[in-house]
Amino acid sequence: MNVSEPLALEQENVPADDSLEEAMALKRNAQRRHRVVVNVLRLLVVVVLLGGWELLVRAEVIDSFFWGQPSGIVAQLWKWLSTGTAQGPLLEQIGVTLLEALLGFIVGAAFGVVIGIALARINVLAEVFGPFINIANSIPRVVLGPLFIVAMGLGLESKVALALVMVFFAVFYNVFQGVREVDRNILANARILGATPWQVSRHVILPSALTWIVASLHISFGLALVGAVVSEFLGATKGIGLMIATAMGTFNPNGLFAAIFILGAVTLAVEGLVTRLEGLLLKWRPVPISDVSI
Amino acid sequence: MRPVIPTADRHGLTVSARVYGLLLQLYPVRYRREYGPLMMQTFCDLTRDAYTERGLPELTRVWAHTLADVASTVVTEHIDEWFNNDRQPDFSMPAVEVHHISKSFANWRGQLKPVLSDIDLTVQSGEFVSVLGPTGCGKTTLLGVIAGLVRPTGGQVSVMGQPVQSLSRHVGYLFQKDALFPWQTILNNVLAGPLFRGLDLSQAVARAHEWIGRVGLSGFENFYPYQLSGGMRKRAALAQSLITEPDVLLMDEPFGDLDVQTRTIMEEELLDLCATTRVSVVYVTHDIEAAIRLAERVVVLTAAPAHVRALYESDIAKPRRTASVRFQNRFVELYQQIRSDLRSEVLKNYECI
Repeated sequence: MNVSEPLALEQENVPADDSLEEAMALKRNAQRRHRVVVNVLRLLVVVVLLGGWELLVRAEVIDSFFWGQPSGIVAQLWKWLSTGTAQGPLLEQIGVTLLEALLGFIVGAAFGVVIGIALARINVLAEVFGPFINIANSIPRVVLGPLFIVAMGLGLESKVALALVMVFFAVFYNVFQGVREVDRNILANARILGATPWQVSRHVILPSALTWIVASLHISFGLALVGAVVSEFLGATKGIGLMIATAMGTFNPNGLFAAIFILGAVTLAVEGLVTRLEGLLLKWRPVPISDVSI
Repeated sequence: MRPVIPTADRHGLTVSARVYGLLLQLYPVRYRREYGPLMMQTFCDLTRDAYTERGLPELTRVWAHTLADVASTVVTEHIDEWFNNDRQPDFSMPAVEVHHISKSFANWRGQLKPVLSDIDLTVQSGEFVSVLGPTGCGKTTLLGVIAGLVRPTGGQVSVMGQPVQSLSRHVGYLFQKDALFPWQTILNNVLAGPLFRGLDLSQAVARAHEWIGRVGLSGFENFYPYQLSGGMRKRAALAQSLITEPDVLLMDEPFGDLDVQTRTIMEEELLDLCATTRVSVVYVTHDIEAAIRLAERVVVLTAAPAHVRALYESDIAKPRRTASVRFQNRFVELYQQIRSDLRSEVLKNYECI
């Protein structure tokens, strides 16, 4: 049985109607045409922006020494891909940064979820640790980067630590809020059905806070990447952040843009995975009705 | 002579006993139920040993024993909550006895506002009692007190002859708003109660299927609550509640937001289910007609702070399904009486403002 389609049952009983089928086909066609038009327009926006840039550089309105140019960026990307970067192959750099960000993301999110639930469920803990967490949150996390590098060295650990700290607070506050906003009725229902406090946490609090948790995961992978890259600026032997620092040191704007492009692509890819995960975890929610999604 | 224990020690021990109880919950329910009391006994003994073997002076040693007593008091008070123990219901007693219950809530200024004042109510085993009252008079609070969700300010409640201390195992509760777990399928929702109480998964699944069939939801096991209509969700909630075989079913305007036709059908089905399960029902509603038609007794509460204004025996011959009951003389008489009672209480509400 098709679970995701609430109308499936009713539709099975409706006899196949030719005119209905025809109307549906018409609608599908219209939708397809619409999609094509939108994609063509999007392509047009890209062409105008990048083409304009390139033209302005060629017409010497913009100085390519400071601002780079699209053809130079593509050439730089191709060079990195084919002959590798100054620190080694490009894929290795991406892999290093991605690993740092992912580790920080996973560990930070796990800490955020566990500590968030604990503090929201146990009032004494919230009262004791609340002010400390707020104080810690008021520190701009990036300034911890030098500290971690001094303490943990130029390797993986210092990057993961900064990414972790960046992710933790975003997830923690969301989880804390999510747990506090659990439906009182559902909570009471679970208790009356015989759930122990542990079962309430496991079967009511966690799934209910999951909406909030997943929402925070969307932002927090970006934050993890920021942590990893910033930490690489400060001192590293590998990674995209180091590539950016090197490009900056050699006055290579094309290299900067190319690295930025790579970072954007990586984030988008992981974001896609998080959206998949969201669909998997939150399949109990009604499908939101919206025509335009960004 | 029993010395007075310093409050700090008593609190410390109470807290550690609670923490221990929480830790024990990590064990699977089945083992917990079996070994739980034994483990708690061990905890009390360990506490006593820890205090006595520290080479403390005599007076402190006496304290140690007293503290161990405190620990065991905590344990006996909470053991049902921690270990899902089933106390045997006492069928010779009334299903629900509410004795001089009062309850006050602090409002935002910190002033105490009485909601219930001196309520007495007895529900016999297998009886169906309706509770009527003006809006905001504390009907939901009364149900909460009976269920053990709300601690009363004064008075005693017992369910099936057991005083209500924490949540009672014998109570089922149907909420006014949807309280199904939206992230679980209907099957898992109905399963929840038996699983929480430590039943085997396979047995629980079998019973859940049986109950889903009884409320007429076969075929919808794998649907999520949002995919069902309001009436179907109520049926699912009914199955979820009744599968735990409660002796007392508390219903808080359960069918309030259904349309009139669906509501009538649901009420009839409820009567059928009650007849087969011999459950006692406390049914809070606004619908005077339904209250008379369904119940054996109708309780009318006053405006807040609520106490019992009147009690009516709804002595109309059963079965009372079908709408024709409405035209019997006795029904009309009761209806008018209750309506005028309620009307004057609702007016009182307005006078206050």
